[in-house]
Amino acid sequence: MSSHREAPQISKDPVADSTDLYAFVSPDNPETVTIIANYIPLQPPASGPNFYEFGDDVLYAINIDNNGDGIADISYLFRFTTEIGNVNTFLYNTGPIQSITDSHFNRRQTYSVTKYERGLPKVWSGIPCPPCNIGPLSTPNYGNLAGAAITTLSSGELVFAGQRAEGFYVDLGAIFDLGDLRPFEQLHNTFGLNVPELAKPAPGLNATKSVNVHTIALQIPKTALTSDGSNPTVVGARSSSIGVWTTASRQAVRMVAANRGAGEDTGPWVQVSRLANPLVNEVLIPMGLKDYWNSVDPSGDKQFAIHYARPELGDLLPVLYPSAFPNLNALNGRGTARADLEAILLTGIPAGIIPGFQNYLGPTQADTLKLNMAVAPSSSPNNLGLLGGDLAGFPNGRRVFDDVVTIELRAIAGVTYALVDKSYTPDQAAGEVTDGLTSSATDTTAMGTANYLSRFPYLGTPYAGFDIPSDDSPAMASTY
Amino acid sequence: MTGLSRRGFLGKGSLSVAAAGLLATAPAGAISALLGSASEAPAVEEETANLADLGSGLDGSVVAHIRDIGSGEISVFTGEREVVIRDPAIAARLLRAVR
Repeated sequence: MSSHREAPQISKDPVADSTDLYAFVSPDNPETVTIIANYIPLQPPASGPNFYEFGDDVLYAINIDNNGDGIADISYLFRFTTEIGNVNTFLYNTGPIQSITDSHFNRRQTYSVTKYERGLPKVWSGIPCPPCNIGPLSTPNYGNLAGAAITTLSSGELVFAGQRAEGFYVDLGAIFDLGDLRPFEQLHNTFGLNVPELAKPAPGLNATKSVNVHTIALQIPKTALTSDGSNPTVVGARSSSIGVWTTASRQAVRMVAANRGAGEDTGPWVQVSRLANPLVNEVLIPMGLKDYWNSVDPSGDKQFAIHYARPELGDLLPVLYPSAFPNLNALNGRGTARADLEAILLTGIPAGIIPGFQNYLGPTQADTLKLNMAVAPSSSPNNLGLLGGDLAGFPNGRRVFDDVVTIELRAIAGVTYALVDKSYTPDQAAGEVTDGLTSSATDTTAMGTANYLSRFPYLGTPYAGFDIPSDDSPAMASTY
Repeated sequence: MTGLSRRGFLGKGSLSVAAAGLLATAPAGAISALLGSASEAPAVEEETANLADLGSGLDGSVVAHIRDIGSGEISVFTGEREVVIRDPAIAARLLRAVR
């Protein structure tokens, strides 16, 4: 998955496990950028009596680098506080939650936001989270509850923290069954096994359908993100691009005391999770480095550059599909560093590679999600982003509907190498490979996802526990 | 890396830290400045002060982690801070307590 349970240690700590990061110019408010960081993966909607919530013991952060050194110039820190109205009931809610301040909302969270910029902290506290989406009796008018939790900070940002429908989609079962992509399974080498059901192509299956996540979302004026406070309007200007990532940290020491029923944390904060570009720690970073990668700042990513430049998956594709990737196989055989992937994932794409576009932040190799804020939102988006000729999509930032699995599969398969080596001809399969979850490049709903919203916070209404959807139907219609 | 046998933890309850949380104590700058910070402290002399006085104003536990027996390096965690001391005598006393 994008970054769900992507490393051995963090897979056992879901409250601190970042799952997806999005950054895009807000289509309905293009003077702003929306950044979304998701945590707590794969939540089944019916999760009572203890519904999902952020960790009071976790420090969540959204970081922005606007000068290309891989170090945060602006950080938003989030700390959560859980309050229980009545500890003598087992109920999350003691009646219908009609409003976000309803006394029936028995276990509620609030949070503080601390913005660090140029060494100066600004703090906002007591911001409410909505409840989880339980069902028609407990959380009627869920859209109103979620909408009431959208808060405007005094410095102009919109902020939201709470449950949303998972927006990421991937055929996880196929990918990790030895790369058996269903639309191409008839071409798989199958390791010599006779598996009749793999004899013909099949559509993908979305492993993340009908589940929820917990979202931290910000909508920030562009002028608050540039290094000089200017409004980014020139695509070719270095100052128009930013790098974004999210982190979660825990305190260094946890004590679990007998007969107390709760732990106690102490000591400085230690980073245990980070995420920028999707799927990097998932499939590029080797097992033995995954949790270490999570602990490192982007400014230290040079040490991992070999795994971006020579991805193991790039070597595997010609092995798994022996007839499909001869040119990639030859490229791999030459031991060529993948300058295309290094640019996309580490430095940003320099000018001169894609006509009229760049999101280069500088030579520092730092895995941050690069967004050129001067690129206007697309009026007819293509879920393949840059590969589909849509400069407003991944890897220029990432929108909620972008088909990042297909984009990265095709990039690793060699499609983007032709951008840096004009003599290279990508294999035909490299331009077609996919896990098969979008019907076309203009499909911005994607199989098995709840409908996205056209406005903040853009991710769909969380699935309700009462409904426990068993098909691909979207959650109940709502404005939030 | 020191092995488990060379590590020791000591939890001591009812001491407290000035509850200057993250927001108040964080140094200026990016989040990286907040993470993994440890300050050095001089070796501690035999403490004869009243423990209750020392604990005044603290809130929460204090945890000592013997990082290296040979040098007597001890990390002391409290609140959102880590203070590193090097005191073989204290390390020895702690180790004797768990023998």
